[in-house]
Amino acid sequence: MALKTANEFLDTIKKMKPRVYIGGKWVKNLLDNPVTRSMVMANAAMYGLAEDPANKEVMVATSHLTGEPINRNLNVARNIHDLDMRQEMALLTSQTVGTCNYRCVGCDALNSLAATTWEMDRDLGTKYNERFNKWLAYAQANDLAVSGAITDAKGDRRKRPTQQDEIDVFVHLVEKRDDGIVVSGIKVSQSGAIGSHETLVLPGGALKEGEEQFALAFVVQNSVPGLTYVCQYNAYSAEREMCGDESELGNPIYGQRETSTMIFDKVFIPWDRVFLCGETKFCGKMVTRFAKAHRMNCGGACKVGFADLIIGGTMLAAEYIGVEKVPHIQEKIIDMVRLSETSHACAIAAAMRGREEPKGSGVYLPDDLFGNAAKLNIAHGFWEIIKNAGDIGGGLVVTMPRLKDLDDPEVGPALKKAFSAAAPAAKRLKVAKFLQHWSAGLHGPGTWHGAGAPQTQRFMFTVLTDFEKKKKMAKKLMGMTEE
Amino acid sequence: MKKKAKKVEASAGETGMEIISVKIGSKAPAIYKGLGGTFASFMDSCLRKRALPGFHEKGLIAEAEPKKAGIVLCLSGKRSEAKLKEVLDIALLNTGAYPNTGGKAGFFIDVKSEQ
Repeated sequence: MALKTANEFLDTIKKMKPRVYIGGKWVKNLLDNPVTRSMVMANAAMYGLAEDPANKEVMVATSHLTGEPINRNLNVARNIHDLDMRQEMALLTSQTVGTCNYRCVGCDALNSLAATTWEMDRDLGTKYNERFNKWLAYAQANDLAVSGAITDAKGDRRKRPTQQDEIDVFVHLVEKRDDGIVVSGIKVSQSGAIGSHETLVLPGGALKEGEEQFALAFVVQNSVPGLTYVCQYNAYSAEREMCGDESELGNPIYGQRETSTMIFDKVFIPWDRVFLCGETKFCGKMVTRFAKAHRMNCGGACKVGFADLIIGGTMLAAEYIGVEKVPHIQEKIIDMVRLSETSHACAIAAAMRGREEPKGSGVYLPDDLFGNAAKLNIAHGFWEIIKNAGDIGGGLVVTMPRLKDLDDPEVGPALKKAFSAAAPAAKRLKVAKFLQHWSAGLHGPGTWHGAGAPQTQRFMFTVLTDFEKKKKMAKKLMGMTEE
Repeated sequence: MKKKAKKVEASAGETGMEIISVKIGSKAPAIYKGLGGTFASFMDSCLRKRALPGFHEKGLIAEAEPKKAGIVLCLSGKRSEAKLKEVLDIALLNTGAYPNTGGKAGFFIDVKSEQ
């Protein structure tokens, strides 16, 4: 049984008991807390999408290990078509849930691991790839929801991991035993581990000789003793907890994007789940390969799916007040489409120009330059898109009363008068709340930082661009001779 | 490090999977299958952390005694066989082991209630 249904996934999650803390409370049941439930339901929707025959090409792949059909979130890309369908999956999942596909980071992490463990075995004679493939076959056979944790807490940025006052700001090795390793430390901004079965943990960045204790890649079961999740908590969390009727919210079922701080307190990881331990030389490659995949998917496709939703909501807002044909409104909406589709084009280009890396591994990764272009473009473009949504949506996006207030016998009639326009007040407020979710929510900074802050993409541009070649071209055309 | 890894992988066999048998009372054992190292995780939880995966309250494990390729667990309080089964089912799922039909077990968990 390689593909689970959404209901089968929910049945397993009901029995998962990670140690989760949110807004001052411990969560005993992920489906009872309205905030953690929204995350779990988004994960369930990913299983639901794979059930639908209409999505088979995008959501279902064939395991290169077993030949069985598997959820694409657990697939290692073996050709250009796989890369293209991977980015299409990121688009489809975002369009469907309007929040994170919480299996996305895990998918890109496992592609990086497939490439890098193969290279380590080739160069060092280790058995990491064999071990990784056994884990992957097990994850595929059980259709596990696998999330990914990359970013360490990092502490004082002027200092290397070994120089930090508090060693736990980086996940690190505590003990090496016959049966496995013991790890401690903190990963931050982690998306969706609480409602997944397992989490792939990669090093947060390149490491140097002498930093071996931080060079770790492993997969952890999400409820093992010693692992604690402290969830993000903000105005949207509080609103979801307090509203009493989630249908009033901007994204009723799936919510904003839910992350947590993962605290490892002497957590045991058996060797069969360890994919890098001490090999500092390969940490940079592992993270770069992850970023290469993630910038195409998270930047160039996922956020385009969000943009599609925002554009749809913005057009409805315009129609509901009768301004949809006004030229400057149309121009702003076209700008939103231009910004978003340019990123999608970069993602498609990144997939189409993808190649086997390393040669002989059978693993395909996207083109680095186009992937970085996709991410950098949407990081800036997304702010423009939500600015236009706020512009066209009007002040109502942030000044609206509760939707339920329309039904209040005392104030409801006046509110209906106030907010009825080319459509009834209820429709206007519903769309305004939807646009509030996007333009005044968490997605702006989330899009900026997700898959790496733009400064990292700018740096990659300087590395990947052959500026000398461009100067030479210009000189040749101008007829300038070399001195 | 390579040597140590080989030692554990050998117990999981060629497929990399482990079969774990859970015996509660007089009933036929329940069988679970997990990735190599699953039983080591379970043992570490019980012996070092004194906790069952998925159960974060202190004091659930009254006694835990390792045996050859197995562990004998005594859970605190008075619990029926059905309750013990429910607890172990959650603990094993949270360790990454899933119910399996048959298979020759390489590891054994014997569970009883304190009273």
